Amino acid sequence: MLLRARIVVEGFLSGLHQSPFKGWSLEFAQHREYSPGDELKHFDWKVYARTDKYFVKQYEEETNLKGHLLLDCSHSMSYRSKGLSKLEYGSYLAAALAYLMLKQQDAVGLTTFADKIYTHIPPRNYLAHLTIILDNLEKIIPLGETKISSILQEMGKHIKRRGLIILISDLFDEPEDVIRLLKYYRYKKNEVIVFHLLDPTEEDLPSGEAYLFENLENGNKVATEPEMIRKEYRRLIKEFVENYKINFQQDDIDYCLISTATPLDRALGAYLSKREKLKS
Amino acid sequence: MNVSFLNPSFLWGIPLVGIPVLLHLLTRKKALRLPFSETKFIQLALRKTIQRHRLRQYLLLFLRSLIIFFLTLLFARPVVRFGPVFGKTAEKGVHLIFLLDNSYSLGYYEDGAPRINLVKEIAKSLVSKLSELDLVAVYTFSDRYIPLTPLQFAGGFTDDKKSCLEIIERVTLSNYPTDLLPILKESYRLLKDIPGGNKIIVLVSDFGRNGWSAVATKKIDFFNPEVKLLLVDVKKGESKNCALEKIIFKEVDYATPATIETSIENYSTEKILQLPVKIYLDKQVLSGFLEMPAGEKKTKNFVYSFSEPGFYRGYTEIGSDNLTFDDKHYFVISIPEPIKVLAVDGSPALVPVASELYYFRLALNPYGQKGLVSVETLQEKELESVDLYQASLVVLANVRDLTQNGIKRLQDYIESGGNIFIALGDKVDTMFYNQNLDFLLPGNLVKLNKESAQIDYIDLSYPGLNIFSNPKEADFSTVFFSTYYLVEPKVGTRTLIRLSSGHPLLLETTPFLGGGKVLLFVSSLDRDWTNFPTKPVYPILFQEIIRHLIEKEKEIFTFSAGEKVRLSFTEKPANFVLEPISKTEKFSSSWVDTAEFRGLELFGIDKPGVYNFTYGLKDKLKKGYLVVNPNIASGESDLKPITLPELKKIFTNLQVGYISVKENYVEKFVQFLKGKEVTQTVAGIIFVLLILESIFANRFRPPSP
Repeated sequence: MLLRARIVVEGFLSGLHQSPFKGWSLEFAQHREYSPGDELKHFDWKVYARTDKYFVKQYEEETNLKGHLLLDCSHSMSYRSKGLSKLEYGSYLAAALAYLMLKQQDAVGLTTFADKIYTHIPPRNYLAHLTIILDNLEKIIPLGETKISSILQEMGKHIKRRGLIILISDLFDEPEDVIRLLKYYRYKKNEVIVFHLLDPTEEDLPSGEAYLFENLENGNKVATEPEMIRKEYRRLIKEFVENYKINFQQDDIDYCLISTATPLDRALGAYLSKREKLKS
Repeated sequence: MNVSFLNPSFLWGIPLVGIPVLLHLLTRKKALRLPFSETKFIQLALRKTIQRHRLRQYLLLFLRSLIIFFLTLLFARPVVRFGPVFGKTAEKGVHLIFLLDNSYSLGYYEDGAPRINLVKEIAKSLVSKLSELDLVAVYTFSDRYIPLTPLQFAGGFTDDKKSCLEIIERVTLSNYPTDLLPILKESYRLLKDIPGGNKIIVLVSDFGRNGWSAVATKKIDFFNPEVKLLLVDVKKGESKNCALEKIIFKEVDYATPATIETSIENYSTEKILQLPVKIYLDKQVLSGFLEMPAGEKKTKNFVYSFSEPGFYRGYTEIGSDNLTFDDKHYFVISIPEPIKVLAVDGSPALVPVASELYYFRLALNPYGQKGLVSVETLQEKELESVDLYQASLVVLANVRDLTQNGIKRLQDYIESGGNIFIALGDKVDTMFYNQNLDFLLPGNLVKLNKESAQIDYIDLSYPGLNIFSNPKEADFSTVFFSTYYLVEPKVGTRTLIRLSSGHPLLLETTPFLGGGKVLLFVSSLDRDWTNFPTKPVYPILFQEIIRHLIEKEKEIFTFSAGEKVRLSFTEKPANFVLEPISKTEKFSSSWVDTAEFRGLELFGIDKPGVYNFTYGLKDKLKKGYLVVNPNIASGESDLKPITLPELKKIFTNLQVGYISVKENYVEKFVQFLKGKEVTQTVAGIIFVLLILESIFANRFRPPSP
C-alpha cells in the first residue's frame, strides 16, 4: 500500500513546489510586515495608502492544513467487474492522498464508514501517522449499507476547525442529502473534494444475455437483459453524475468522477495537475 | 378474386407458424446471477423500457410467424384469378363462348389486312391455349348471330379444339351492321343452365359505337354475375372512314336533264381536301371532287340527260379508304316511256280552247309532244277502230253515247287491265250511261245538280292524291263547281273527292277482278260547269291521278344488305327467277299473303349490287331489279369506338376483363382464364418481412465493445 502510494505521489511531487492543497482557500487571516521576497500579489495596497507602511496579507492555508479523508466502505464499494474493486481503488487513493499531504507536512486523518463510522483516525502531521492510516486501509473490509448523509452529519463533531474534507465514495445515497451536507461543510469554510468512484459496468451495464442483478447491500434482485435497458440506464447514470457535478460546482466543491478502470496514478495525477493550474 | 394453389400439399406447413411462438416460450434466456452495487437505476430503467420491449418482442414474433406463413405459401405456389373469394374453381374445365364480330366494319383495313383476319387470328390463338377439359362454343355475330360449333354437348359446346380452329379459319365477313343485344342475350341464356363455376364469354370485336346503343340504353336483366366477360379489342389505331349514304335522282324523265344528288359523310376526325366522286351510268362516267370537312355530311350533284326511256343501272363510287364496303352505292333508275292517253272528245270545237279536252290536254302535257304524257284526241267513231291497248288510259270527256262495239271494246280493254277516265258534261245521255255503261260506272247518274259547291274532302290515302297532304299543293279554296251530276255510288266504290254539298265529285271502281280501274268525274273537264281548269291544282290533280292509274307493277326494289327482302305483288307471280351476282350465292323465296304484306319474301340476298329478276304475270313475262346497298343508315360506317368507361358502366357489377390487341393478349387471356401465379409477389413479401425482422431484431443491439 505504501509503496503504491509513494509511486503515485512521488512522480507528481517531483514537479511540485508546494502542496497542491495550499493556497486554495483565500480566507484572509492577518497582516504581517513585508519582507523582501514576498510575492507582490499579496501586498496590501490599501494599508499602504492609509499608513504608508508595507504589509502583506496572510491566509489561513499558510497555516497548518488539516485534511479529513472520508472513505466509503459500504458493500456497494466492494463491487468490481474486473481489476480493483471500488473499495480497493478508494483505499489506494486515500493512501496516496495521505502520503501526499503528510509529505507536505499537512495533517491528515482517516474515517471509514458505511452506515456508521467504523474507524476514525484524527488528523496528525507527522510522517509516522501514515503507517497508522495505511494499516487501517489494508485491513478495511466492506460492511453495511451506504449512508453518507448521516456520516457527514456525525463528522461534524470531529471537524471543528476549517480543514480539507476529501470524500471517496460511489455516492449511491440520496443525492439531495449528500449535496446538502457537503454544502454545509463548504459553508463552514472547509474545502471539500469529492472523488466519485464508479466501476465501468456501473456506468454502462455489463454485456450479456440476461442477468439477475442482486443488490450487494440490501439483497434486492431484478432480472433483465442489459441490452433492453442499456440506453435508459446510461441516461439515468449520466443524470445522477451530472446532478452531483452541477450542484458541487455551484459551491466550489471539487468533484472528480473516476472510473476504476483508469490507472490510479493517471487519475490522481490528472486531477492534481488540473488543480495546480486552477490555483495558479 | 379467389386464390388456388399449384402445390396445395405444402399448405400442411401452415401450422409451422407456431414454431416462433414455441421457440419464444421454450428458449427463454436463463439469467446469470450478478451481485451489483446499486440496482435502483436498473429498476428505474426497466420500468421505463419494459413496455416498448414487449411490443418489439411481439412484433418480432408476428413477423417471424408471417415469414413462415408466406414461405409455406411460396412453396404452395398460389394463383390468383377473377371470381368471388369463395367462388368455385375450374376443377372441371371452363365453358367458353367465343363471340366473333364479323359485321361489315371489320372489313376495315389496318396494317394491310382487314380486321376480320385479326379477329380470327386472336380467336385461334386463344382457343389453342385451352385445356382438354375446357368446352368451347363459337359464334359469329353482326346484327344476327350464327353458331358455328356443332352440337356435341348441350348448347353447342365442343371439346374438339382442332375443329374449332378450322371453323374459325373459315369465318368470313358479313355485310351486316352490328347489334350486340341479341348475341349477348343468347350467350347468357346458353350459360345459364350450365352447372359449375367457370363460365366465360370472350367477345372479339372492334367495339365500334354502333351496335352498343341497345345494350347501353336498355335495362338488361339477363346479365349473370357468375359469368365472366372478356372483351378483346382488335383495333390498333384510330379508324378513318367516309361513306356514300344515298343517291337521289330528281326530275327523272327523258325530256329534262335530271339532277343526281350523292350524299356523303366523313366520319373521321380529319378533313379530306379532294375526295373523288364518280358515277358510272349507262357506260359513261361522271366525276368530280368534294371537300369533306371532318365529321360532316355533304352533297355532290351531277346533271345527266337521259336520251330515251328505259332502265338505267349503275353505281356511284367515292375514293376508296380503309373500309371499301361503304364506298359504293348501286342504283337502277327507270326512265318511263311517255304515257299514251287516248281521249275521246265528246264536244270538239274548231277553236282549240273551246274543245272539251283543251284544258285537260294542257294539264297532262304542258311541254307539248315531248312531255311525259302524250294525249291523242279521238272522235267518238274512232273508238270503234283505234288500238286501245297502245294506250295506258282511255278518257271519255263529255261523250254522249257509244256504239255497242265501242262499249264491247271498252269492256275488253278494261278487263285486260286498261284504265278508263270518264268525265261528264252537258252532252251526256244519262239513260245511256245508266243502262249501257252501268258495268263501268262507279255509280248511277241520278240527275244534274246546279247547286254551287266547292271541294270539301279529298281522300289523301289514295296514292294519286297524297300529294295534297302538303298544304302548299292543296289550295282548292277558290275552286267552284256550278253544275255537276248527282251520282249514287255503288257498293265497293271509293269516293276520292267530295263536294261541300256532300255529293261525290270523283269516284273510283274496279269493275272486273284483275282488270283496270274506272274513274268518274261528275263535272266537266272544261270551264262550262266549273272554274277548276283555271286553277293551279287542276293539272296537278289529273297528272297524279293518271300517273297512279297507269302505274305498273313495281319493277325496282331497293333494300339495305341484311334487310328483309320482300317484293310486293298484287298476285303471285309465276316462275320467279333471280339472277345472282356471284356463283356462290343461293336464294330461296316464299309467297306471303297477310293483311300486312302480299308478295314474295326472298332469302340469301345480302351482297350489295343489282340483281335482275323475271317472272310471269297475267301471261306476260315481266322483269324487275333488286338493288341492294350497304346499310349506311345503321351507323355501322361510323367507326368511332365505345369507350372503356362506357363499357364498364354497361357491365357494372360483372366480372369483366379488357384486353387490347396492342398488348400481349394471349398471356392476359391465360391469366384471366387460369389466374396469375403470384409466387414472385409472395417472394417479394417475404423479402420485405425479412428486412423488417432484421431491423427490429438488431435495432437495440449495442456495438460490441
